Amino acid sequence: MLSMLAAWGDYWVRQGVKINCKNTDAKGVDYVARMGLFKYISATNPREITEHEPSGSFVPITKLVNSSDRAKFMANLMPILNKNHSRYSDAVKYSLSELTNNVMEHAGGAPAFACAQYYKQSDKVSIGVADCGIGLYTSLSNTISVVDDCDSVMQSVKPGISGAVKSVYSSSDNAGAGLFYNKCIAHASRQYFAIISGSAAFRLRRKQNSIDFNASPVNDRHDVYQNLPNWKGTVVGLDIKVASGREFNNLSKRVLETYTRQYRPKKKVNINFE
Amino acid sequence: MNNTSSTVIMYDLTGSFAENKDTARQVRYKDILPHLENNNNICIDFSSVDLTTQSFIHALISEGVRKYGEFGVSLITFKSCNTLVKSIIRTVIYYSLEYSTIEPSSDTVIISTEDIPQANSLDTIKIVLRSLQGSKNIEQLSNKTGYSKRHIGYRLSSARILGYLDPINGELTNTGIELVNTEVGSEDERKLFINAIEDSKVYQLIAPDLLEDKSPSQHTLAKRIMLHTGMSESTAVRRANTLLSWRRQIGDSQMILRLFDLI
Repeated sequence: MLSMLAAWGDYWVRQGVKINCKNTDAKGVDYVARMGLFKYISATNPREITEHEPSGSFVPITKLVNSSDRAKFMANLMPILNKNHSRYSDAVKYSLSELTNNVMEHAGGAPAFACAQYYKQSDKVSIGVADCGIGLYTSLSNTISVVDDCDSVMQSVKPGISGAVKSVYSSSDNAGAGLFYNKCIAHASRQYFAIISGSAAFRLRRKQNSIDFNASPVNDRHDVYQNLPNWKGTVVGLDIKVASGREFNNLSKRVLETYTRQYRPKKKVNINFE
Repeated sequence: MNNTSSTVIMYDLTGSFAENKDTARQVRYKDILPHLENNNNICIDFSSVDLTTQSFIHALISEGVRKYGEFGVSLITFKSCNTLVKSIIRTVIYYSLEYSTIEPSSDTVIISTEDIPQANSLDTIKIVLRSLQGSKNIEQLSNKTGYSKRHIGYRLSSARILGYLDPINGELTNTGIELVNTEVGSEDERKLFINAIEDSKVYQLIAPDLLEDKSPSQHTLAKRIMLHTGMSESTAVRRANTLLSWRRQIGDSQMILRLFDLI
């Protein structure tokens, strides 16, 4: 939600609109301020707060315009994760890397906004990335045939679909892997995964029928929302609860198996590992 | 094959988390693709890299695998990969091979696989042609030459490709008759081989640079054969070897001739 607000605020500020904030006494405004929202909506911070060093529980909202911003964001994230939440670090690093890559590649040049929060009580990390770019329908229409926002949202979480040129996996730079991988991470940790674009949204339910990952989201327990108020761009949010590095390795192995099930070569391919 | 090798130390470029696709792209363009294009080996050392993403590995190797297929994969060594990095590399290679770009475009001329020779020795083609006189079928040819029927077939097919046999009635053409009458290892024989190769469809379409000073690589020829015939990679590599073998046989004589010229 915070990433969405930052993207939305930044969009309107760039259009020359002035944003006024009301009810700034509301509970949670301090938190919003600490996460850096007011910086992006060009509003004065309504309350005096003591800014905490973010290390430990959150990564404040960060504007990602180019790959250099993204690289800095990832670099800033490392010490925080490694120091405090090494249990989660691999999964969170992987998720944030893929999500920020993915959103930026499909934003059509618009900035993306990312943030993360660790919740001690529930022992999970929530990640959000949002942009006010071209949206999934326009982005995917360049590569595959999609009918509408709802179809785009569903297609985007299939493996290998969202590459940047026509036909699956055919882009040299884009594997079309990020969203599918993140859906699987949420699935494995029985957490939410949601994606919004245009007037449609997909949400993976926390409880799934099977521990096996599905290449098609239709086979997941999920909710699809249509005819929502239009969000010009894309938003992805997920919660992660992966208990250990070893567990993440196992999870990755399962994701990759799902990913390649249909592409397993008919004969053995020799790969030189030393 | 040229075996020049170099090593990319990934940790020096990415640190312990290899995820920056710009870096992957740079390594791809600067190191990986040039090595594969030139048939050179390359080692990517993942020592001290704890984690990577599928997007990173895709940006690093997918284009090379799609362009150069299994042969390209065989030129890359992945060193000191942990289990996760290995799994991701395998995944990317599998689907990249599945979506290999070695496919004909709409304007690619497709030729029959029968137009791609598979008899490596020009001498044995000539021996089979000489034995044609008085032989009514392949079995008799086989008995006469001591070659298996399969190899007789390869040599007759290659003779047809080189224009020594009439494709309709299977009889020796004028150049075929000329060839069988030349002395083995003579300059006349060599010239007839060169002319026949240069006039063949396979030379003109697939290997116009076969007889140039710098020969095309085995991989380059195999790729072209795959493109124009739809052959599998392993078969195309074998047929590419045949063409390179022909080049060697003609080239040997040429070198001797030049030496004599110098004297």
